[in-house]
Amino acid sequence: MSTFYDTIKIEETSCPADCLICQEKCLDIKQDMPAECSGIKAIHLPEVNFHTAVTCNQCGEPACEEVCPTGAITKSSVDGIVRVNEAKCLGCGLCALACSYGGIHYAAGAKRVFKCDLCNGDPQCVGACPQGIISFIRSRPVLQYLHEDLFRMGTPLCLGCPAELALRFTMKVMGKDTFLFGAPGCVVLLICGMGTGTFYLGTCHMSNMTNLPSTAAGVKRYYRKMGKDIRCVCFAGDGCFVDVGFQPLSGAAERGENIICICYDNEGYMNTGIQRSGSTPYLGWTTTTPVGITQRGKQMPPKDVPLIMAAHQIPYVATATIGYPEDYAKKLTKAMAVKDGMSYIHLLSPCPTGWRSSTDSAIDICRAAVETNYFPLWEYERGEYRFTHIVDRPKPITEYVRFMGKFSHIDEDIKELQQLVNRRFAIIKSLTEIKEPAGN
Amino acid sequence: MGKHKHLIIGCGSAALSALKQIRKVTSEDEIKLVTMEDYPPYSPMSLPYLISGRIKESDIQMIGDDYLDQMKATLIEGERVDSIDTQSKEVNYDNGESDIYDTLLIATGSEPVKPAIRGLDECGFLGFHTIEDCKKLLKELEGKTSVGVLGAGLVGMEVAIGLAERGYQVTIVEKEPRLLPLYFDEEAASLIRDIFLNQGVRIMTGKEVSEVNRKKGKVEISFSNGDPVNVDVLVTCVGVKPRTTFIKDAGIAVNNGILVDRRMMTNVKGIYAAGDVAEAPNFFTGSNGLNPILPSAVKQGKIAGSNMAGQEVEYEGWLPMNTFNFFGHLAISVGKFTPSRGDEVLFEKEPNKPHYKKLICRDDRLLGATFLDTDIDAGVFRYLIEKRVDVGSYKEILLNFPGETSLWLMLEAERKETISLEA
Repeated sequence: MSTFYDTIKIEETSCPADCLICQEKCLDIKQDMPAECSGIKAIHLPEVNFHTAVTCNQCGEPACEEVCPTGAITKSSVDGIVRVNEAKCLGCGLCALACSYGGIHYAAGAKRVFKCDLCNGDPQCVGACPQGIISFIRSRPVLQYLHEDLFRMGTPLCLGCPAELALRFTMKVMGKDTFLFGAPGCVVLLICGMGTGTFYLGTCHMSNMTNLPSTAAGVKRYYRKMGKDIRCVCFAGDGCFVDVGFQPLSGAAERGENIICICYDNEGYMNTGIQRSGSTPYLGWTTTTPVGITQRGKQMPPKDVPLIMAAHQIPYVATATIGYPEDYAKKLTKAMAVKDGMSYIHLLSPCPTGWRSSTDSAIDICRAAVETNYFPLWEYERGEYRFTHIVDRPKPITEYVRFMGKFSHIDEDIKELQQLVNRRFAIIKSLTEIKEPAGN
Repeated sequence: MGKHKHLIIGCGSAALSALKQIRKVTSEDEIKLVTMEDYPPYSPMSLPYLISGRIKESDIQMIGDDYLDQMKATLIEGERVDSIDTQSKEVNYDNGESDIYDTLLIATGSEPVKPAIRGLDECGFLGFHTIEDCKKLLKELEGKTSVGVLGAGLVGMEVAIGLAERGYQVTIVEKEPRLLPLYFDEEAASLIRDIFLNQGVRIMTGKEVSEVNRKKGKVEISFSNGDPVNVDVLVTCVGVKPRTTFIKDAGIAVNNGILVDRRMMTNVKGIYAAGDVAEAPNFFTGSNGLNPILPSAVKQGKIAGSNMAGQEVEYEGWLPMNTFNFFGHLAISVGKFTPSRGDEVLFEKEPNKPHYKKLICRDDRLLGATFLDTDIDAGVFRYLIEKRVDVGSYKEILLNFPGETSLWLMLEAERKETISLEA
């Protein structure tokens, strides 16, 4: 059983030479800790221009725990912190020999080991770092949203595709009492199978791209008539929701159908050979928006479908990515609570095959999309727009496009892309600043 | 068909590590451990610390009371294995009972070597490997002042420290010319020796014991070279040997220990061995050998457990390594400590100070590192050796700034994943 826990993250960017602030803070708090055993260590090696900090990773399977001859080292199943029980510690030092990452230190003088205990859940080095290089990543709360996995093991999708992860995660949050609807597209292989057998263990139906929300709405109404409140969820790509199936989506929204529509947006018709869609980004390469002398990728900006859906004034609209799972889980929970109309979630889902990105980069891309404001995380809830993840210092769009080949032709025109990103962000920002009309 | 049944003989570090791993892979299989001991699982390496009084007997238990329940495993205490029938897949115990198995792990560990010294039995041979040995020694010590420790391996040295810390007059006797001959080179050993001498420990190396005699309540140790020495109590720590006697007729290949392949399997399908009892491939040479240290036992147990549970996992081979702390000092040795021909040796030592650094490299790879009182992370050096990280252009700074440079090389290797797979 795998579990998620909180952890300290240290950015790969370089620390200022000779800065010892994190280490000093640690030693300041842990009075009995010898200087060479600080829970976080500033490492300076000017010979190779290397300046960083090193601390315990609070490993999932700690090697120090495995090797401890008296069971003095344990990883808490509650908060995930790897702690040393001083009464049981022999001071043999084998743990320091077992740890590959310099996370536990033997003090010859004190004859015992010292390590980071995350200050029992509030690590003080984080706030002390003037560079903001050290952060505390809280991953545990996401657990409360997750139920059992409703999919078989394995995936029929391309290597590194996050859509599989996203759908698996979605159904873990939604739980068993859900009727899942798919339409032609990549993930339908997971939902209903195409000669591969289904991977989904719950109830599902594959409809057409042109009638997906209509079908789900019909089933929903039927069950309601039978006195049952069944959750009906449509999970389809941008080819369906942004283009081919946009009308039924818009229609169902306007009619107030109580269904949940989730668009996994991989910015094109990836399943059929990487053709452009209404969601393909400005300058993005596809096989139908090639890069050549007369054209450099797609020449027009994509539709902002989440904003269009919000303009339908349905109860709930949100953007999300699997790169921020807790944010997504919260939004799913809100969507599930809606009983008087449609909820729509627009999920950015990088496509390693179609975007020409490496197969281990999907989550990095998801995060970069948010951190550059290319894909801001926001929600619209009964008339009110708000950001769900504030990016303090947005990175330039170059930090996003560098991950993928579909933008590799960009040079000067990066400025236009940046302007487009800024403009779109400004629109949403202005919407979040709308106050309720007086007298309401 | 019933549940798959794993039987583990032994309940030390290798056994528990295998148990944990099997349970991680399969939740349904039946797992049973059998130990000859009457105590809850402990590691023999904690015993010297009982001598010094640093830790209580109740604190050396490796696992909590409910651990085996959590693991859905049963533990049978106080039963010795008499024989194994590999045909009927049956293990027979000395009390006449027997057990059947589908997969079997032999993790019986080691037992102290009893040297062929005349008079040793008459003087009451005292080995040091089990909690019973430890209790016997503590009882013997009552009202005594001087103790002789035969053997300057890690166990002997740890026992000597424990005794010295409790105020006993300790004499260490070793037949090799230096201390800790299996873990440290001559330079380091001589620095360690000086520190022991400063603590009032008497050290006699290069001394072959010819006989021992009990005279007037004392034990007289005679040597083939030099004058005899008298001590109140003599404890023998001349090393350990695999505990293999019970498998003599089973058809399982044994050299010094039980021979295993990279999956920790013996020549008999379904029978595995791990830990001190196993003769597994060496990391550098791939040839089989013993490496009776705790980190190897844990690793081998884990590999055996994976394979027993149906996975295919191979052992990279064992590396000699140890960390030795004594009287506020720390000596670390990972990998090779004596160079072979063609190896490059980098070396730094400060005169008149217990401070010492040595690296052994070949081509661009680190093969061994020895440190005395140097602020480094031992595990990071182990990582650099085991992952065969390219240290080519950085050997000098690795010697000069070992702590920082090793961390840097490790982080770079992790980040770039430029881990070479060639030997």
